[in-house]
Amino acid sequence: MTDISLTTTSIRASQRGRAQFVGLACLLACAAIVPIFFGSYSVALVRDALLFSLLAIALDFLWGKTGVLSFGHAAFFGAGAYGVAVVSTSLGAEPAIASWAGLVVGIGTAVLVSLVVGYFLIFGRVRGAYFTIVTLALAVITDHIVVGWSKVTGGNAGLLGVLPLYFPGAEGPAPLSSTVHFYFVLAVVSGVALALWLQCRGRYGAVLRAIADNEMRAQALGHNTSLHLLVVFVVSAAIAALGGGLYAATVGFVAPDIVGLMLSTQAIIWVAIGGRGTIVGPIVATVLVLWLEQHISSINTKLWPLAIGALFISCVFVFPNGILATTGDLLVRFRGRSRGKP
Amino acid sequence: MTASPLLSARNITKRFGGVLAVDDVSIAIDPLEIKCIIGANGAGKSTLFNVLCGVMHASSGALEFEGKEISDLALYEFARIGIARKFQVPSVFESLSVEGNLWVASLNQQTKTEAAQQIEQMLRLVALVEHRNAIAGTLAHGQKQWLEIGMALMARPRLLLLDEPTAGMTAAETQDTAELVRRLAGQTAVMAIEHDMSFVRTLNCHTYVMHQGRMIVEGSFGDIERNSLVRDVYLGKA
Repeated sequence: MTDISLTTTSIRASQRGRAQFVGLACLLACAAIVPIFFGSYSVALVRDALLFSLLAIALDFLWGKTGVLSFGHAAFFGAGAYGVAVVSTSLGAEPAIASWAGLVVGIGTAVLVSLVVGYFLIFGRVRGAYFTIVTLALAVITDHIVVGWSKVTGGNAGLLGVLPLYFPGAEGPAPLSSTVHFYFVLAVVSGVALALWLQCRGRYGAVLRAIADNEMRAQALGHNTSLHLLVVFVVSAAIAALGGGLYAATVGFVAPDIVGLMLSTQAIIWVAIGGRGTIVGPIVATVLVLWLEQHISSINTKLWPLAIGALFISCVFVFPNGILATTGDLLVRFRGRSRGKP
Repeated sequence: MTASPLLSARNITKRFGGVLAVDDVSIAIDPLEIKCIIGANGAGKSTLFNVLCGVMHASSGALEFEGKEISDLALYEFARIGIARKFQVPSVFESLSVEGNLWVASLNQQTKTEAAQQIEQMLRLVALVEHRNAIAGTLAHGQKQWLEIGMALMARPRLLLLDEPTAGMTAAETQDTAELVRRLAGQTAVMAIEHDMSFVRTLNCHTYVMHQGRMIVEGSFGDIERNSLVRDVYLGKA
């Protein structure tokens, strides 16, 4: 833990905030040109990665800002995805509204579950590893429900034919073309990231950081820390569900691999590699890791677990603050040194 | 009839299993008054403070602030009604900047401009103006202690509880801290736990002596210094 605090001290807080904003702007610019220079396969790959990055952003808001690690965030992502899938495939709703209604149901379910689970855990003073373990159980339970309740969820086979989101157009409501849909996804991800960045920039971000540092002390200064944590947990679950719902409507099918422990673990890896608490870092890391996964797996499927393992270990030892923060740190140090020269 | 005290604790007892940490202690402080509690290590001073500021609930006894019973309030509510606490171990938020620490300590109901103005005042009061952007974890021990006092004062408390404010400080820093506390007179009531006799002597206020969980003597600091029982307690005879 000590080397983490040492590296963070080398960058002043304000610089870090600005670096995050610049990072977000660069990321947007890079992503925006993907459809111009790359083929439809890459566009779809980046689009799906961006949707998964909503899960990473959600986890980062909770883990990175308040220090509370949830192993169950895939359950919320899955709630969003299955909400859209179930409502649009089995309830026979109007196609123009089916997926939107499903999105509302999915996010609503995630909010409700996170509110109930979060209330009992957080107000019951469950913290640290205990919190992580209980949320891990949440992911396992959700996985069992999805696999076991096959009449509704399709069991192991999942659900096919999930309807896309319809948008109003000149000839009535219709799904977006794939390029426009890519920009829609990009807009949603940047909107969520920007909103969180703006919200956490000032005093509120400092209060969350304070809770992560020393919760009892934050209470002694008059902050209802349990309420703060519950709000963050619920908002975080809602963002994860938004990502899941959009993912289901985008790819057109859902399967149990998007609710289980594997996805929760992957999300933790994305956030750790990208840098906890940076919001932008996890987005970059999600896209990079999923892109690498596609390319390395296409060489040999057995290579990927090795590669992700090596990446994760090097992340823990070499970039404890994530790739972005470490690069930023080095840049600031380099600039400081060159400025110091006569 | 005199006005009711700001804080009054009556017959406070705190047990940890079989250990009686605080045994039937009564204590009161009036608005704007300064008082000290002294006593050897393990006398129960910090436990008493933990009860007075809501970190722990008493096993029995009554706790009133401005005439209202407060023993059932949550820790954050103690801060909101005007009881601030500086902990024994400096507990600033290590990963936040000095200014960030003061932002966290500012009250919710303050506007941003009001809070910013107050932060400027506080930085001057605790002599950390040049260090405002420093990460709190990198501050010297004495500076952390002062930052924490500044944080406690941000909420404009009516009662400030200081748990060994000069622990680990040099003699000069201790004197400066005593001066700082004296300057607070007229703004807030202060109750301090202290080991350092020069600090208590500088404050020269009403002093309580705790020993093995009980309040054994109280009086002006002059009386306490001359009290043979106190001397015995400090020398380990009693």
